[in-house]
Amino acid sequence: MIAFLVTILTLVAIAAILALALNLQWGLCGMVNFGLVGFFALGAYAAALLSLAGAGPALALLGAMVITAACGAAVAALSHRLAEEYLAIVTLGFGEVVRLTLLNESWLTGGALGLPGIPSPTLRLPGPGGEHVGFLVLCLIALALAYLVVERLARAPFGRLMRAVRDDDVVAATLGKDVVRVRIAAFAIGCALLALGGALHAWHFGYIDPSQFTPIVTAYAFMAVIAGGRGSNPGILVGAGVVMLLIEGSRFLKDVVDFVAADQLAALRLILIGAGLILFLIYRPQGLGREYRRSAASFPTVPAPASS
Amino acid sequence: MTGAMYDQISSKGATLEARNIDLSFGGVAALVRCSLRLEPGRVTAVIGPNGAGKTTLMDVIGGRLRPDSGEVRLDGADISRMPPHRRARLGLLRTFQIARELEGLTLFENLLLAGQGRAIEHPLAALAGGRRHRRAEAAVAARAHGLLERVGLVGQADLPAGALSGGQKKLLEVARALMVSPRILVLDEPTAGVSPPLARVLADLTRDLAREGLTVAFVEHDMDFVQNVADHVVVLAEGQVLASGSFAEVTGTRDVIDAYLGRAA
Ligand SMILES: Nc1ncnc2c1ncn2[C@@H]1O[C@H](COP(=O)(O)OP(=O)(O)OP(=O)(O)O)[C@@H](O)[C@H]1O
Ligand SMILES: [Mg+2]
Repeated sequence: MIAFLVTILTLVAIAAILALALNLQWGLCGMVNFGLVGFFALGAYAAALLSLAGAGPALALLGAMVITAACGAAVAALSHRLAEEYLAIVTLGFGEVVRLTLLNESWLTGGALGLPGIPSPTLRLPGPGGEHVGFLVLCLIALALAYLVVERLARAPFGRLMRAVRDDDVVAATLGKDVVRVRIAAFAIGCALLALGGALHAWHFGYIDPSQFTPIVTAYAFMAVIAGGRGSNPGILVGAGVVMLLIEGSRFLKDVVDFVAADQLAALRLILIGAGLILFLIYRPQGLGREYRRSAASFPTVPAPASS
Repeated sequence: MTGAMYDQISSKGATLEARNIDLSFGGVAALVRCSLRLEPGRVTAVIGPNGAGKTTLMDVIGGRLRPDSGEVRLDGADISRMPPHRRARLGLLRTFQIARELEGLTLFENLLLAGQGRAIEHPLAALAGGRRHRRAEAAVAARAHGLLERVGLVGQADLPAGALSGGQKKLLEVARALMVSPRILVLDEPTAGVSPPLARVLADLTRDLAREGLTVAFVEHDMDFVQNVADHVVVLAEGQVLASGSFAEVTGTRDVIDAYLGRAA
């Protein structure tokens, strides 16, 4: 039971990192990323290949983040001439290209068989399953760092810049902002975080293959951001937790509902998750949290309002 | 007493010249060999009937639209091919006929955004923090507060901009443009939807800015405002300059009266 809990929490931490990355790109900067899983996979494979080649975890992680961020920057730069809606198609296409590459370039990726035996870092904690708990601690540290980075960006002038580009890029440009550069920066930083999630995923399983990187990963991230509240990093932490608990928790459905076949149960789970999200959107369409807004009086140079 | 604070709103004005602008949307000629000259310290009003091409001309000046032919010059330098954000960095700021507030930001944040410099809005500045950046941001906040006082919107500072009234949004646009230290300020129907007392605030502000040397132009249908504020009036009809001169000169012209009554040649 403890082992199961540790595994779930590890997966929640990874999912939360992906959701925070999507919040930066889509929640704050308005760049829809339907190819999220492609960047996640790219990060996982890059980290796995570097680890297998003997690179230390720090180097493997750094390499994965740089490669994935560069791909993200390229995608954002290439699509800047297109209307905003087309980014959805371009990212979707990118995800598909990554999937096909992973399947077909077997000399590098192992094709459908994937990459086994990925060496992974962990903290050696005492007790049974100590290395799993140790890895969970590493994931939580990574999540905390990712949260700090995204939250700092959101609260800084750069956060306002992203939100302005999201709300009305014409206005941002009219005020002297280089919209293309903002988009490229936000997208690349988000992709670096997706690679962080990918590296943790590869290390956690020790084995990766293309079947682990299906579009449902993208869907989960969107669910977490929508439930958590677009733009709100604290809300999204909770959102990611709730979504993953729904997904993993509904595994126990088979203990309660023993009259349906296993394959039907799988479909039933998805229906339940979807229904949960719809109910949520009906009763709390804005999500759990609200994005950070800097109040005037929080500046030392601005006199507090006369009333109150 | 107020003078000191507003010294900082604008830098010295610049001269802007649009020369022989032609622009058509499909078959519709919106501007036909249209020219306009804006000078430091002078307030120019662009008037004309609906569909005359006034907004189109402002879009050409701001860089949102590329003319089919003709050129735009700022202090003599050709900026015809420059994108809007680079024109803004040269001090050429414009507002929109239908106010475009950044609805997810508060009124105060709209102003902060406009005033924050490139150094403090870099993502690395966010991660590195630093007292210098915080102090720079606080200076921007002080300036934003001063401008909100001037336009009478201090009480709405922390409201989401999307929740403001139409008139308040128009004032937001003007204040936001002023945060960038403009050298040329181009306003598209600044008083549309603005209540009479606030329109008077806007008129005073515009006059003060011009006295400080700023180059100002606005499109306007409210003739009282034009008469009170403008030094120079340009009449546009069917994409062409019909007349220009002082308010009295222009409104006395037969062609202008005809154009407004819909009997343009
Ligand atoms: N994006 C566009 N596509 C096609 N036609 C346009 C477009 N924008 C403007 N026009 C046309 O160009 C002409 C000039 O329009 P413009 O908006 O510049 O007029 P205006 O003088 O600002 O009018 P108003 O006083 O109503 O704001 C009009 O005939 C208009 O229909
Ligand atoms: Mg107009």
